Amino acid sequence: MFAKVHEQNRMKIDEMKELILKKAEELGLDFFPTIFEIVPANVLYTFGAYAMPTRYSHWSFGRDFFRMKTMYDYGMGKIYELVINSNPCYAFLMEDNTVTQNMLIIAHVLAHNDFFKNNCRFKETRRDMVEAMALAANKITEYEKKYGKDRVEELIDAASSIAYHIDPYGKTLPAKKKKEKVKETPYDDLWNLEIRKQVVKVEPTFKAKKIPETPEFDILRFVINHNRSLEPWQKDVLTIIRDEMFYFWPQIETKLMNEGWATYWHLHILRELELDTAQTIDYAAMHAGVVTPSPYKINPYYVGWKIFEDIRERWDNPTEEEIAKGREPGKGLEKIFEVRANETDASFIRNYLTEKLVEDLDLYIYEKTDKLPEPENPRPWYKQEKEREWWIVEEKKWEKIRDALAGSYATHGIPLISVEDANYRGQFGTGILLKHHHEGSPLHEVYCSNTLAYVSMLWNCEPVYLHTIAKDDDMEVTVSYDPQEHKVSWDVRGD
Amino acid sequence: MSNELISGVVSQQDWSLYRKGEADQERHKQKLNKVLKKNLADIIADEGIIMSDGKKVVKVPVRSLDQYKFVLDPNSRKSAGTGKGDSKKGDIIYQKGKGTQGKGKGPGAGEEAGDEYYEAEITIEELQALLFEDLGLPYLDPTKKPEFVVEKIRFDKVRKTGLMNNLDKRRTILNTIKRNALAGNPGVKPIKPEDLRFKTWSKKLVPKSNAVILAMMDVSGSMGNYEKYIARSFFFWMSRFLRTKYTNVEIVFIAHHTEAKVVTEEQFFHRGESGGTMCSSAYTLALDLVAKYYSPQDYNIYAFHFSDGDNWGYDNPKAISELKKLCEVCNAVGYGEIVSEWSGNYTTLFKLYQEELVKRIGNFNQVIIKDKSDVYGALHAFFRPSWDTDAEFVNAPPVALSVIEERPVAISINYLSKPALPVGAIEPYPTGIAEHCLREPDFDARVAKGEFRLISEFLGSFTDLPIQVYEDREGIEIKRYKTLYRR
Repeated sequence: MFAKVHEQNRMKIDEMKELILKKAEELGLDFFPTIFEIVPANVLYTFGAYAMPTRYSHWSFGRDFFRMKTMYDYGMGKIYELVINSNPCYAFLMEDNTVTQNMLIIAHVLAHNDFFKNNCRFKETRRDMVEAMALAANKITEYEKKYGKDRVEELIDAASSIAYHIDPYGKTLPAKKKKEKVKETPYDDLWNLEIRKQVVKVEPTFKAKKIPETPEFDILRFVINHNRSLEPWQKDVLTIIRDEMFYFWPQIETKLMNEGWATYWHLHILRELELDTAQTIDYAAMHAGVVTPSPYKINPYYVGWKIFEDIRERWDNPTEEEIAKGREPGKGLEKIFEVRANETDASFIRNYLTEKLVEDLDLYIYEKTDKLPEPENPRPWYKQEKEREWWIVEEKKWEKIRDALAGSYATHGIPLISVEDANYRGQFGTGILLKHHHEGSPLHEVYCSNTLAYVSMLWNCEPVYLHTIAKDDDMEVTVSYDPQEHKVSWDVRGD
Repeated sequence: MSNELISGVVSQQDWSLYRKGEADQERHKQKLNKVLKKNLADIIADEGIIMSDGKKVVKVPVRSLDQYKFVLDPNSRKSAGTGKGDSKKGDIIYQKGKGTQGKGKGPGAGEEAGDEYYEAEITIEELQALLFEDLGLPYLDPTKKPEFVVEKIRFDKVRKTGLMNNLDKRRTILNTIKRNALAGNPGVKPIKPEDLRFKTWSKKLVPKSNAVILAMMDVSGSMGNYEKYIARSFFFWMSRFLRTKYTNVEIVFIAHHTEAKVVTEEQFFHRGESGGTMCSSAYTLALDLVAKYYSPQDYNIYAFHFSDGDNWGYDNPKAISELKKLCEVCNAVGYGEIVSEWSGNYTTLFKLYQEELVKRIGNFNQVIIKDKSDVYGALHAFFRPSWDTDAEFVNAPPVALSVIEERPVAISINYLSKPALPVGAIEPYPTGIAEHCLREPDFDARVAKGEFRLISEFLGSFTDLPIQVYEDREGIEIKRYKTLYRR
């Protein structure tokens, strides 16, 4: 009987899919062929936790799976779908979804697909990542059998800790080669009186090269290339992790836009279809649930969608000033397609978040503090009780909000860390020196200390040092990790 | 858009055997168990367990395992949000801590950045297994306990026939008197055969595996709720451990101050008493009970005493001598001293016990407990496999355990005291009735402004003068007194 129900369901979804595909193509979406797989809840949550159906096994995915599944079981949150950047594009729909829900989701998925295919940042990503990950997972399983699950797990833990610090766009400068004076004739130097006056310095022919010569922002790459004592299988695992991060990186960079784009289209495609009242109410309810604004964070579905609507509106109906400058009316659709191809979240916000949008969405920046702001606190000598925290709106000026948001989407909360010197002499001996390029926010101290232990593990258990600026007093500090004692010390830098 | 290829396909395969997520979840659980083991000290004294009152499954808040990476400090980061349309600078969108009702709905699950806790559901059995494994104790499956049963002869029956040797003289005489009285012939003679009563025996199957815990606790004024809680935590695990070894485990609760009394478990842990402390009273009572009800041949006796060590000096020698006697009949005797941060190092009692008992007697041990996590250490000190009936016992030094954990201290505002005036100063208030609102300048004005709100007024029980209780915006109470001055 279950098979029959599933069969019926599937056929209905098939019909829907044909309708929606046609409509999407009509409206101009350009996407890879898509495979919609209907899966039970635990499978969808597994894929949600692993991000890809064929990824290697790791306890952290197990933890996330458990967490997500628990939230689903308790009715606290639901994943409806999962879509993968690949060609053909794989999309997974939850078995329990109703037909109308599936319609909305299929439209949503097609828009994601179009985004993956056309956004500039995705041009270099592998479209066969599903298969590639399957191969990688197999390799890792082989290594686990050969070298032991614990060793491989440890290595993956360590690699994952610094995986976010890759350098997709080449912040790492190539080492500058010293320019030699080209002698044009053998007698040039005689004419150049300057040179004759110079004192000839004898330079030692052998100089220890500083490794790395210029700060290296791709920590994993640095470890792979420079750690001579890594075994080939270990290098392989590190490379797998790094490649995965490269694959996911554009998705991290365009999350807001992508969700906004998909929301825009699931709304507009479904509006064009002829739905009866019940279906309309169903999908309107689901849409409303997805775009609920949150007072505590930016809901990408909501904000992204609203920005796209705004762009469409402004380019369809430009003001007189804009027309005078050459903008033709009615170009809204063209413009949003152009935007989806060329921008990332940071530039999207910087270029298209207007004053009006900030007002309409009532955006603000808030901070969490354990002190009530001054005017309201009549007794500043009174020490507040512990465990009290207030979240207070701090900024309402639209330019500041726009700049702050664009800035945060540019860094994604990932601190900028580079490898400065692999042979740094610190208090625990010679080790590797990292630098945190402080952009206004300090590091989480406990996490930092523990991550240094992982870095040390990847660097032959040598001491690790990190230059950063401390949280409380803004002083420059060196964080030193001693692998012998497994302890970390934070010292103010004298120099 | 290629037209030859199918642009979309719906498929539904059989996923019923797919267990990838569950497999890795198992792995996570294994790692979590390792972490649980490391933190057993904190977990076993958790209130959820000790007060669980027999519930099988207990929720223990456990942080899920972290994946460490370089992240920005979440508390220093500002976040953005979308409001309802009228937000302005200074609006409080959320308030954590006391009095959050009404100050905006809190962030939902997954919205808050930072620490992730989830409650690991762990059955008490699992926790017990972890704990005992960690303490190096054999964990016996409670369902598979071997029944050691012994036939014992007990003279607890009375019959009309029996051996003359077993004549129950008292009952016989009573029956004679009764019969004679009924016949109108008071007196003891004659004794007829039908009056005779004989003591006879029945065979009782007594499980050899019997244990009794003599739980003794000092309930004098110095033992507060916290101390009682520590004691309870210890007894909880002690009884569970002994239950794995013995079929029948009884606990007798003896509460004492200057006198000792057998009480119920409820009274043991909840009733407060006051008064001085004479530890020997508890030991004497314990010895009494052993003599009357718990013969060492039938029972494995474990005696344990909790106190804060503040014994009356002249009682010490008696305490020691009684304890020595107790050690002779018990499998093991222990003493736990619960100290709070303001008392000094070991008390005299502790030192005395150390001298007289620990060093000389094999089955006595003592520990100091300063906070919840020390309970674990206490269990460790007492239940190492060597601390047992037959094994060789190694004298262990007293275990002084961890550093005091900072307990949050409630801040209470007390506006009772008058500020001290320098000697010779003229008192600024006239005789008669004066009002103090010294800590709060311009109190009346601020009440008028609305900063403080009067919530109740009553008469003081000593002075019969009115006391007003105000509340300010955060819910902090201020009492306003009128004081009588006399010259």
